[in-house]
Amino acid sequence: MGLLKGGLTVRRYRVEGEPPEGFRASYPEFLGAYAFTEPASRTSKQERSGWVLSRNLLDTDFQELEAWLVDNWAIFQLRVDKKSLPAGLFKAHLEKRVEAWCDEHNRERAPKNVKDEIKDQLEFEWLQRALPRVQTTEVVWNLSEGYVLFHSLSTNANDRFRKLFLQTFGLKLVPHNPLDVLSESLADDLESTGGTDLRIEGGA
Amino acid sequence: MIEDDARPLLAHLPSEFLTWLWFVTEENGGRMNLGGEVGSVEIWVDDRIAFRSMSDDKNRAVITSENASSTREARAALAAGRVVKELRLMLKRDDREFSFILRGATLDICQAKLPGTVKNGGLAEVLYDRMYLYEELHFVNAALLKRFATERTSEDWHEVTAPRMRSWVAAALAVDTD
Repeated sequence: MGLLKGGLTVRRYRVEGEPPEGFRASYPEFLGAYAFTEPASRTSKQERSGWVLSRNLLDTDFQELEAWLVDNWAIFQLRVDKKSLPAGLFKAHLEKRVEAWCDEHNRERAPKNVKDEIKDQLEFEWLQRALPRVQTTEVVWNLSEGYVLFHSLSTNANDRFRKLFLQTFGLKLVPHNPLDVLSESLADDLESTGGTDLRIEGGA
Repeated sequence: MIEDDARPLLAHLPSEFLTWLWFVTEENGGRMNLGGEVGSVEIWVDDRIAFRSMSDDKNRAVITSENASSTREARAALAAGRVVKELRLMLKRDDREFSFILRGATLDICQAKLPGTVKNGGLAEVLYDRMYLYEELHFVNAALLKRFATERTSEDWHEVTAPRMRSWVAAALAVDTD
C-alpha cells in the first residue's frame, strides 16, 4: 500500500510559500540534515524520526537528485523508529529476578533501590537485543503546484510530519480544505447554510 | 494536534455532501454531467457506508454489503438521524474506473484503487501515472463538491431537493415494509 503501488490513502496539504530558485542545490543538504540516523546507543527507547529515500528505508543519501526528484515531483519517506518492550513479559521476568535476589540475600522483600537497579539492568539487557518498530510513510511533493500528499491519516503521524517538514524546508503545510475548490462567495454562502434534517418520524 | 489558522469545515457540510452524492447517484442512475472540463461521469455507491451520530465523530453504524446503498439499514440510519461519515464510491470517466472512500470532515481520499496502466515501470513512469490519476480523482471530486455547493445554496434546496431526499429515504423504508 503506498503512493506508488496499491491503495492510496492520503492527506493533502497546500505548501505556504515556494521553494527557492536554487532548491536543487540546497534541498539535498536540507534533507540530509534531517535524514534518519541510527541512535548512538542500542539501548535508547526514544523515538527517532527522519527522512529516507523512497526506494529503500536504509538509504539516506539525498545528494543524488535522481533518487528523490522526478521532474517537478519530490518523493521520499518519513521513517519513525521506536523500541519498546513487551510489558507483560518484562514484568514477569522482573518479578523472577527480584525473587531470586530475595532468595540469595535471605530477605522477604527487596528494597526499592535494589528493585530499581534490577529493573534498569533488565531493561538494558532487553533493549540491546530488541529491534525497533519501524514505520515509514511516503511523501510526494508537487513543487510546481505547491501541494504535498502524505500517505497516512493518523493525527500523530501527520503532526510529526508537518513539524519535520517545516524544520527541514522552512515551509508551512496547510491541510487541504474542501472549500478551497469553491469561489470565496460560494464557500461563504455554503457555510451560512444550516443542517438539513432527513429524519423521519418513527424512522429506524 | 497542530492548530491551523485555516477555517475549519463546518461539521454538517461533508456529511450533507456525501448524503447528497448518494441520493443523486441513485436518482440519476449514476450518470452525471458535471460540465466544463470534467464532462460526464458515472458514479455510484459501492459496498461501504459509515454513519456517525449528529453530535460526535465516532462510527455508529457501518453497512458493508454488495448493495450497501439500497439496504433498508442504510436508509433507516438516515431516517433515525444518523449522518454519513464515509462512502465507498465507484467512479467511471471515459474508460477509467476508480474505487475509493471519501471520509470524514476533510473528505480525505482513502483506499483509492487507481486504474493504473504502468505496472512495472521505473520510478518516474509509475509516479507520473499514479499522480495523473490521483489528480483526475481530486479534480472530479472538486467538481462534485461545486455542484453540491451550487445546489445547496440555491433557493430550490429547501423547496425541491430536501423534500425529494426525504421522500427517497421514506420510499425505501416503505417498500421494504410492504
